[in-house]
Amino acid sequence: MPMKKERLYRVKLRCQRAVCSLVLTCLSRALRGLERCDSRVRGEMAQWPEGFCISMELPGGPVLRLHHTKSKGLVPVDSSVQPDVAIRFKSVQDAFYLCTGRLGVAGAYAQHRFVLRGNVSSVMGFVRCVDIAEGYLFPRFWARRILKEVPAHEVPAIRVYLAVLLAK
Amino acid sequence: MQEYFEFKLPAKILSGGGALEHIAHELEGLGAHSPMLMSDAGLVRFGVAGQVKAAMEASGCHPAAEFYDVPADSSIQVVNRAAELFRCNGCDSLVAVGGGSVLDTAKGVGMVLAQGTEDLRQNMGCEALPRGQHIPYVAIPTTAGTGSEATLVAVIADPDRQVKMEFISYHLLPDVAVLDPRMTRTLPPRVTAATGMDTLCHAVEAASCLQRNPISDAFAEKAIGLVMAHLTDAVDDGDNLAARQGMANASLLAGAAFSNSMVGLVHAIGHALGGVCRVPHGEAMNILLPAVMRYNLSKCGSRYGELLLPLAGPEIYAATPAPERPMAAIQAIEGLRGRLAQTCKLPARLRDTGKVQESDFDAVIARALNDGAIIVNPREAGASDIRALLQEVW
Ligand SMILES: [Fe+2]
Repeated sequence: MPMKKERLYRVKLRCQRAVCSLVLTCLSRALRGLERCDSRVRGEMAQWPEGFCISMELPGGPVLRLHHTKSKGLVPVDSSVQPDVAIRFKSVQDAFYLCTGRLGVAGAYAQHRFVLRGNVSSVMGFVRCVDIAEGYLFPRFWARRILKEVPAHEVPAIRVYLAVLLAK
Repeated sequence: MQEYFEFKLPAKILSGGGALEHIAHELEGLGAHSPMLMSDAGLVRFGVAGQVKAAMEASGCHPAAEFYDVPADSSIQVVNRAAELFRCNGCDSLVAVGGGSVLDTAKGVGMVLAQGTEDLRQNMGCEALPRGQHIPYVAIPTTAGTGSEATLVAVIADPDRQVKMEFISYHLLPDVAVLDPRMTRTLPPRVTAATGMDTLCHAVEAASCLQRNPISDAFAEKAIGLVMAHLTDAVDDGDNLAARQGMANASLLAGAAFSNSMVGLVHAIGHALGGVCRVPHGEAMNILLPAVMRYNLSKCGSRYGELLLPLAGPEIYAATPAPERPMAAIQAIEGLRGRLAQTCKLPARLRDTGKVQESDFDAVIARALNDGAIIVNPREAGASDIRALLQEVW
């Protein structure tokens, strides 16, 4: 690769990493908000074993690690907590596709975009929660492209956006 | 169809009469001289395992150990015992003769040996397994159904922790798949029919679910044609070696197809019915396939329409107007199912299996929703959808 092209490629990667980091933070906040206001997400999370920890990782970072307890609900934790299941993207670009809504989780799985470590069945509920979050966060016409079925909104999407913006 | 796909089928395929006699040569080519032969007690009793051993010995290859203790529901304990026998006898390769359980157990033994650990928990998952040491593996299926000889999946139970550990890894694929018609000859008609419908189900789901790709499509379509051509003959006359061979080829093709494009809702519910109520896998497939196809019709109807060609042949395909092809494809499968119900009483309704109560539905639904296969099904399926499907086939 000529020098200039290589530099541009590296800049692009840095930008993609930054976007992924931002989107993963938004996703974490959206899921926390939805646990409070969406019965389907609450129902899924209630079935998780106490202390269930799930991680979404890009090679070289960032990492989103979420820990669920009955008392505190879903909270982001640092990498000292060992995850029960980890979704590891094979490349930064693969994560970028998912984070920018070019692919849904099912599509990313079907295209071998990530590796899954841990019990496959314990991650299915998390996938449904992410689908529901995407149904709120993306405009309907967009969600239709990446989800098999756009989940109905139980609350106005603005509540989820507020949860993301205010981190509450 | 996805814009990016991956496909792997590394196995050398030995298919046809005399295939067993070539195993010794293949092992030699793989640099292996002391194989461990694995099978189950039933196959030893029927002389099937003995036939393989005799064929290997006739070509100058003597198994260094024999493990015939694989139960129908294999577990990590069985895998560890077999691995121990392998080590004690200085074996260097695996030859497994059997149905899905034996072939999966052998994959597990290969995994334990390759990773050098008895605790496989950290290797659970999808594409998460490192290669480790390579243990040459020759798989000899004795049913024409699971396709395990061509798949990257192994399910091994851990009874102590009450989990079924699922491993999806390219490193589990056998090096050699041996399809010899002598191996399925003694299979009773009903098991032939049920395992054959499992094959058809692998092919239909591989050809229509989200992960399908041009190569898996080709494998799946050919498999469907072979099942339609040979299944009833193999059921009617077990000694029809041409039909047996056709079904063995179909099973491998469908296995390779779904190993690379996965299966969907029929399997998600089928696995749950097997886990909760012990419904035999092939019977569950036979019961569910048409109903789930009707459920998926709105998402992949045109794809089902294309499958009418291998399902019914060119004359019927050409004579059926395009909009009617999807339903005609489902009817072709129902036709086959009807013939199997007549000849060997293969149940077409859940209640006829004698294993399921309507009160089991809640547990079945909960398990199906968390089965990994559901993710690539083309249509979203929630608890109420699965309940409606179970009621439809009840
Ligand atoms: Fe199957």
